[in-house]
Amino acid sequence: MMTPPPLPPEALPIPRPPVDPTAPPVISVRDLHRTFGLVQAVRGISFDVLPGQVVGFIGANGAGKTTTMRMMATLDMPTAGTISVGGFDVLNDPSEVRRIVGWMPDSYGTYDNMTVLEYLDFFGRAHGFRATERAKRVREVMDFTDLTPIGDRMINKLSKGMGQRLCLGRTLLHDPQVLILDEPAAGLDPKARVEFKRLVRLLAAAKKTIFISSHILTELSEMCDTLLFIDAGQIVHHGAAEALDAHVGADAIVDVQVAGPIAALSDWISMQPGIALAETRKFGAAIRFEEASPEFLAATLRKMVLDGLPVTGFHRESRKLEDAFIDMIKKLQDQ
Amino acid sequence: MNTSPTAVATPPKSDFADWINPMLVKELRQSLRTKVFLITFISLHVLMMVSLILGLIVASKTGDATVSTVTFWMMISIPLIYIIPMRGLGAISGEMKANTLEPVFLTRLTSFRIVSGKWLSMVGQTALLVCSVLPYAFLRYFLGGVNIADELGSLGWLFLGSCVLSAVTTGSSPYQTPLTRALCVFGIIFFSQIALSGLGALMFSRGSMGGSSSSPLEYWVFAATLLSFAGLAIVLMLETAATRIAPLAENHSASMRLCGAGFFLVAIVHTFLIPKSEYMLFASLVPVLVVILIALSESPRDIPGPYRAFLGRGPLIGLAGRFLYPGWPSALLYTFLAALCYSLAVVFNDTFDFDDMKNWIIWISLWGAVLWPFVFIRLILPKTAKPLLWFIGLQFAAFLFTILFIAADQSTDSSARVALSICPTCVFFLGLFQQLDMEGFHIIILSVVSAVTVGSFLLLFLLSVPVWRKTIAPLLRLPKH
Repeated sequence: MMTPPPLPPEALPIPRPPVDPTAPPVISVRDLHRTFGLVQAVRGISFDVLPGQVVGFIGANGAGKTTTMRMMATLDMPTAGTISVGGFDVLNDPSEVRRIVGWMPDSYGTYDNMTVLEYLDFFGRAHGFRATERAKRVREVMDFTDLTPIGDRMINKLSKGMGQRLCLGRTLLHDPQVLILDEPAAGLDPKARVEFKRLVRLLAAAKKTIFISSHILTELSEMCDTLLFIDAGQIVHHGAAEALDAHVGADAIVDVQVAGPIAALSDWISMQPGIALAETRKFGAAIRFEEASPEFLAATLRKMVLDGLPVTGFHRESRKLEDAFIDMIKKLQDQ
Repeated sequence: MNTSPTAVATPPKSDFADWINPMLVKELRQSLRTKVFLITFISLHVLMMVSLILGLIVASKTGDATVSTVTFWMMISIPLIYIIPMRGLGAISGEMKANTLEPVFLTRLTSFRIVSGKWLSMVGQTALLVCSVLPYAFLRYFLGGVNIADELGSLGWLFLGSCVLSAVTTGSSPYQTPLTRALCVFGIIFFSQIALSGLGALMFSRGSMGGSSSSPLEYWVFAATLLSFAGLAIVLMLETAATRIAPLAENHSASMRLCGAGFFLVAIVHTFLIPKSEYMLFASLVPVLVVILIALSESPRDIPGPYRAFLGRGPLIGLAGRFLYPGWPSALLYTFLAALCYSLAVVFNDTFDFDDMKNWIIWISLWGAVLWPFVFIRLILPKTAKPLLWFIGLQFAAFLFTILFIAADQSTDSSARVALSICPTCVFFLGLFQQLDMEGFHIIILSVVSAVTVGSFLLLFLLSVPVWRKTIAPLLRLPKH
């Protein structure tokens, strides 16, 4: 049985074992469809997840994230297609899949008249742990998720953050190989969000395969090896976050600040090839460069100075993942 | 992050609760803290004490213990028959609404263990209430005018009735709609009245439907039959709930159909041991028909899991699979077998006076009424998700039509009624309402009803062959792993 490692000081990096790209996938989804009446929630998606990988599953609300994850956790049935987890088919061998999967829904229901300790004890029993082993597992999970001080508290009196930690604790009780976490940080305050991300990193360090969904891209890009973007029930991108830019194009936005009137800058931009005014700002403008090469940026800056513009700032803006994602969706829709 | 010592004390290697259903442990922990249980428990004891004192006062003045007896049984019946079983209505649906059931599905608990744990917790609360009123029963005995053996026996039957009602409400819980909830509440009130009056007759006369002249053997056979029926009904209801929440790979159809077979076998043994007790065959037919209707409404599953359990285990189990696989094609064979067994049983038991052709008409129209709506459903609405609802709707329409027909056509020998024989449901209700007194037409009606019944079966069988070939047969040929 895996014992979660003790929490290291927050400032220290958490070392992670490398992912073996040649290993057989632990999750394999093939041509998955799910239809609810006339609504096609999932439309023929396919992907693989390698053992030990942390995969971010990103999409807008209603894109098909939760439906896909519920099918992976055997809680919903595909209309067509197959899902295998740990080599077991979710339809034919749901009980085997359930043994290796830990599922954390976006919202968890609470029981009345039950304490945190009793809740975890019940799930320990339900997972088949006997008294000593169960108490050990419950203790480990409570320590890992920092629930020990609130063991006697009624679970319907917990805060959102505590509830999410309890939910994660329950998910970890049977030491699952694969964790499917649906919007685990939704509704958490910034402090609880940071704590939760650390827990996920620790689990990744313990060689867990983690499939985690969110609609906040930056949150996932920090902790995931690879990202899966889903839109309208279809996978639109599978790869690293950085690859999104390549997917969309090679343009860049540069924030230029000038000492004089902004109108002069706007006029200058309108006469130059290869650049365009994105928006005017308080001390200058945002310029869209069709080509984002350093040489072109440097040449443009040089020309600005030579043409007499009083440039006080020239800063290339890193594009937000959300923007890249939206641009990609637009591009796909245009195609 | 906290590093203080945990609140979990070091436990023994195993405890008693390790050996029982985890769902039961959880439910008892929760339910014994609920206000409903606490208020019921405390109120029951307060009222019991008050009634005992009042009974004592009345008995000391009049020498009559009736007041005490009536209040005692009324007070114990209300929580056992109404309050605790009614809580079963929300047992599964409440958790489904609160989104607390899905995490439990991902544990090692099977759907049947989840449902049975819920039910057992209600049984546990019922048992606690029954045990807690035992001192009052003994006190009443010591005060006189009470047969303690009868009293304890009645409490036992009441407890059993409460267990069955709790199973009924728990079983219907995952199918909760305002309509089913209202039907359940109405059904409990209606049947509990019958059961309570039957219980009174049974215990106070110590007879098996025939009064005090019955022999002790008959009493015990009757009791054993009732116990068996109750056990089968409980399993059937719990399986009904489990079916709703189980993954597709689990086959609950088999256990439900085996329960149906159990009802038949118990009834056969009963009629064999006790002469003139053919009514038990008809009593057993009600749950069997429920099983058949549920089975005929099932869709076949296009995954091998539920079918493979019957493969490679010998020819007998393989043959049993043909009747027990989930899906309506196997249910058709099960229906045929049930109809055959019951027909042989009623013929050999002389249950009916089969010299009277009307009885033949009623018997055959009963089976025709079961089959014909499914011909309509499989032909016209093959993709409907709610075939049982359509079945009920069609039967209700046929019933209404029969009632209107009888109201409009008062002459019982009207040849127009012969035309109704094309619908077995109409014929069945005409027979039940004693509206088949048309001597000259009996043979025609019997012929038409038989033709419709056999035709419905054959048509359904023909429709099931492609379903079998397309869905089930390929799965049976797959290797096990």
